[in-house]
Amino acid sequence: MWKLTWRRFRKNKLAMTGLVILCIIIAIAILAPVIAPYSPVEQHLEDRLQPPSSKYLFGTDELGRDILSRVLYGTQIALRVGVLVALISAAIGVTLGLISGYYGGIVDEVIMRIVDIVWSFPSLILALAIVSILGPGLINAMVAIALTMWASYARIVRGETLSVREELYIEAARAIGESDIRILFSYILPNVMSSILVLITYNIPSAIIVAASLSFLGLGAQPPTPDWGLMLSTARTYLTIAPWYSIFPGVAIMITVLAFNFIGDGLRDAIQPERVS
Amino acid sequence: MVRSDLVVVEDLRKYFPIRAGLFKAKGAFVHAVDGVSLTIKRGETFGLAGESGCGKSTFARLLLRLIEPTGGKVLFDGVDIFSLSKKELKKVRKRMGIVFQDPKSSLNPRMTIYNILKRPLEIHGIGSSKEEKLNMVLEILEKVGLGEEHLNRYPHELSGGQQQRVSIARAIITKPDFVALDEPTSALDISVQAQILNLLVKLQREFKLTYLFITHNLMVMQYVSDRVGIMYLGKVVEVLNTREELNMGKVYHPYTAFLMLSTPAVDIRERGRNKIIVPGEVPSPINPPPGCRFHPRCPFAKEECRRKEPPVMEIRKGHYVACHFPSITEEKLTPYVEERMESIRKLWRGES
Amino acid sequence: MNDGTLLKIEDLYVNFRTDEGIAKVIDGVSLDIKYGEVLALMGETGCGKSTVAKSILRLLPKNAEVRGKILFKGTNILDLPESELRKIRGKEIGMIFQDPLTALNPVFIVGNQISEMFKIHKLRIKRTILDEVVELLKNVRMPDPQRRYYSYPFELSGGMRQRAMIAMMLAGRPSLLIADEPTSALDVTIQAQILKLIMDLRNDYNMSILLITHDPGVVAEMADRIVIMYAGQIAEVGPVRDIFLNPQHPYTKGLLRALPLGHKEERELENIPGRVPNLIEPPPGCRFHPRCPHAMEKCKKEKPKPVVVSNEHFVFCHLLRGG
Repeated sequence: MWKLTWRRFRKNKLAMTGLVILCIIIAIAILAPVIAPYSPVEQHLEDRLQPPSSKYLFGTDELGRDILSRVLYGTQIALRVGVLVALISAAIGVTLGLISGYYGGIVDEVIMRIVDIVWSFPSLILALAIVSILGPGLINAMVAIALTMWASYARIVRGETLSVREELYIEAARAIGESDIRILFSYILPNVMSSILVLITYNIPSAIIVAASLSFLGLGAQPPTPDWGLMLSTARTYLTIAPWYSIFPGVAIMITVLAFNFIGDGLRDAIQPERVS
Repeated sequence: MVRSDLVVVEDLRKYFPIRAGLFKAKGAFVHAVDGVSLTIKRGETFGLAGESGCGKSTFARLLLRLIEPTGGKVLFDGVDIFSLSKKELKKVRKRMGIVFQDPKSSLNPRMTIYNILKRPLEIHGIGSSKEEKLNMVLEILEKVGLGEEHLNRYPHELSGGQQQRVSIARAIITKPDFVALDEPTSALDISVQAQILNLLVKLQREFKLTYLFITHNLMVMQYVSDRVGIMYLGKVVEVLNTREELNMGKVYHPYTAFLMLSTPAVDIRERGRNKIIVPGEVPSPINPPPGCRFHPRCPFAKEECRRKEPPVMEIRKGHYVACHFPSITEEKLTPYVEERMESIRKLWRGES
Repeated sequence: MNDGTLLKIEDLYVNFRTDEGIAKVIDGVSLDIKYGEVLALMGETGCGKSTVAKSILRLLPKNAEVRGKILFKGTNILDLPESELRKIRGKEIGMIFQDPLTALNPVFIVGNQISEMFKIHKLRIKRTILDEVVELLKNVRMPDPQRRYYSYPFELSGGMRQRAMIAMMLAGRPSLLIADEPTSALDVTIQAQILKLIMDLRNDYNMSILLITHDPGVVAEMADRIVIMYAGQIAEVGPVRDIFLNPQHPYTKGLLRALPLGHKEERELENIPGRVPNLIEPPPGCRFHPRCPHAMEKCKKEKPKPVVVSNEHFVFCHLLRGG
């Protein structure tokens, strides 16, 4: 049944472009040690703040490090952050959404009120607050972002669970003696998976941007990590004399985010209810 | 001891509160099942007929304890299923099965046929190895007229009739004693319906099953059941034998008579004859009328019918009616029903 | 067309373009409806009966390709421009559906919707529109018609909604009423009321009715003639008595024998082996041949032409051709 979705997805040029770009990004992440001309932390103090040249294709930063190599290695960090955060927040949010939608009653009320509270804060502010409690660092930043993102999963999954719950095959499952946990994860979850997948594809770039923002503010990745956000932050100081320093990491972020967004749009359009013949 | 009464229902009630938002119901309830008592004998097909809102679907779910009752008992092989613990209930579940009306939504769209059928075995610990379970699944597939090629397919790849076969296979793979069938053929074409009815009859004989067969289609009811209960607004108004009484038209409740006479007759020669039609709408089970539930639509209703609920009378052996004046039906309606049933009988005998 | 024929369908072919290919849903169907008669189109899922009905009013989706002629009072509907077609829909030809909720707009009261019919078609009225509408509601035996004028569709029961829909369609006094499974979603006792209503209205309004249904009981009660369809082809056509008492086509016979008459202790139901074919790659020739116990070589190649059984009774089957 995913075959039909794939066929529709393939027809969408924008979505396929996004997919191709993502594949390239993943390839870069895997092959970074091979294709990067320099180590991302290797300093060439004699070549500080050099503009792009044949020796340093993207130029160098204030410590003489090759920006190209840092951007290439940065893909690893961006992907890791995006995917891990999305998966963790999905795990939390989906579980709570399933429980909320299936059991209803007071459990539902409590969970939904927590969702409302989390959702009422702009994610960046909330992430900032959490990070300031946990302390700066990439891992802490990831935890903080995950804690802001789970709410959207919970909401969507709860809504879908409410309708799937009424389906006859759920009743049939209870009739043959399935346990509640089994019903939640083997019967309901697979049937709400499509929305979750679309949400994940949108959340990965969101996570990347928020992580970049936190790094930009000095609360995320710490030097000398080749994190794009951190690079942007440092580049700020040298904006007038070394504009290339901010351009390349910025473009990298933009392309990555766009790629995921195109895929997300394409996926959302391609997934249609299987029951419509 | 092998009980001849497999299922005994005593004064079963289920009221659904109507909730206005978060606040408690203002006393308004849906009287879905309102005091039903009957027995289902081992090995028989007990038919339950009635129109929408009569409570037959709710009744089936109560029998399997898929919902909790508001009152009453259901004794399954002597044991009150509502008094069982979760663990004990699970064991009883092995002996019961259910088949629903809509074949498409009865099967998990994300599970293969193999997995759908394997689950009941795994849940109840039937079959000691993977191979043994696979064999049991293959065996049951064959019994319902499907094959190995269907194992790895998904429900949407099957036709409606095939989906219903899988539903039936799932219900009987644990070799239960009792199967509730809620409108199993209503969503199917005539030719597919015939196949499924034949299959159900065959399976019943082979596996010694007891059926609760729910349908609003009286023609199917007349064919497949041994005894029939007619429901109206949460109550059973008549219980009778199918072959000897229902199919002969010997009915004693006015609603039963009207049901039989309202069904479009396949008998072409009946056409144009006296069309006796019951007036009014099918009432809502919220706040049912006092006294006899049927009195607002009954052309023969008297004062007593409005005031008092009718007693249940055993008008012949095994034939129960809940009506104050069954003799009126006998006089004014039953002859027409008998005539129609006679005509239909002549019809199919002439053709076969 | 003064031979009493109101509607004549000639060689109708309908294909649907789908993701999986072209579905040949209607394969050369011809039929006619006379003034004042009730013609039933009966068949199982996928036989094309609903598609034929929708073709008449050109209500098919965009991916449908239609060929052939549909002559209504002599004019080919398929050739008419949209503006002319709109004068026919709802006025000359009315249609009621299985689910009244599809025809009734949930946000307008019933009275408004029926009034619309008068306004759209600029129908002549004797009194006010409101009076006309209440009169219509009385004609369809709506209980408490004055009050129901102001009801929303969701406030009405299934039977009442069906009556409202019928009232809407009667406003234009159509010559032809197409009823697509009008009672399949209703309870038996309500079904009986609605069927009787339709038949009485047929007499009062002098209408022809094209009845689409899968229920043989409804056909036996209401139809004058029946067309039995299978997989987009016509299997048999004839007066209702002839079809029920003397069916000729193997499919018709199989269908009637599959009806659960009698009791399980007395007979096993006969059924037609196999399944309805895939319309994207339908069997050539007579589409029933893969399931037919009497299939011959000819059936696999050639589509059967109608064979006369008796006056007005035709079978589309090679078996009955003279030797």
